[in-house]
Amino acid sequence: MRNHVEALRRERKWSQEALGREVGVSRQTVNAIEAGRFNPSLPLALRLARLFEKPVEEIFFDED
Amino acid sequence: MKVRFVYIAYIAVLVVVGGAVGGFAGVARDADVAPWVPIALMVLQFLVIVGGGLGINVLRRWIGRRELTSAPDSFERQVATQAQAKAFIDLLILTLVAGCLFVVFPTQTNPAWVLIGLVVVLVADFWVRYAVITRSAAKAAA
Repeated sequence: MRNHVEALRRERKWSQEALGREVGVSRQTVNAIEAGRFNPSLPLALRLARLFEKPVEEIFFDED
Repeated sequence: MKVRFVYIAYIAVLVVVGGAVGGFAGVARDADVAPWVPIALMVLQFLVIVGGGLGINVLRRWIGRRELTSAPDSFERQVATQAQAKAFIDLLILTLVAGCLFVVFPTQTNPAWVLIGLVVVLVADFWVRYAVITRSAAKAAA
């Protein structure tokens, strides 16, 4: 699963730590999501979508 | 303050306190002291060991809450679950090895040392696995 989390975060000039605090996870979790090493749970993906004001499928998408 | 330094400071304090209590116990064993002193030192040693063990657990939970590493959706939580699952398989294998030791060397094997060794190896096993997974993820992200 790939995602646009890093691009969306950079658009808003947020640090990984600040984004993590907003959605209730650690900086390393944000780092792992951005690197595609960790697929977030559905509640976390929904929290990210709500924060970025975008549908989940616009942020997370298949690699195909 | 960095999490690593909190742990190092805690362990340093524990080693100093444990060393002092152990030292007093050693001196009291050879010296002519009141009968209540060895009992008091035994209670103190018990408190240092149990308090130290419980304290590190409380500290770990406090850091987990502060750094959000214990959040249910966090990467660290998932890594910890993976490491626990792999350490459990290792526990089964090590228990089998320990059982073989008792069968092959029944008189030379001390059950207490084998048990302590098992616990130490398992704790180290978990933390090594946890560190390897988190570091490889950090390298991939860099």
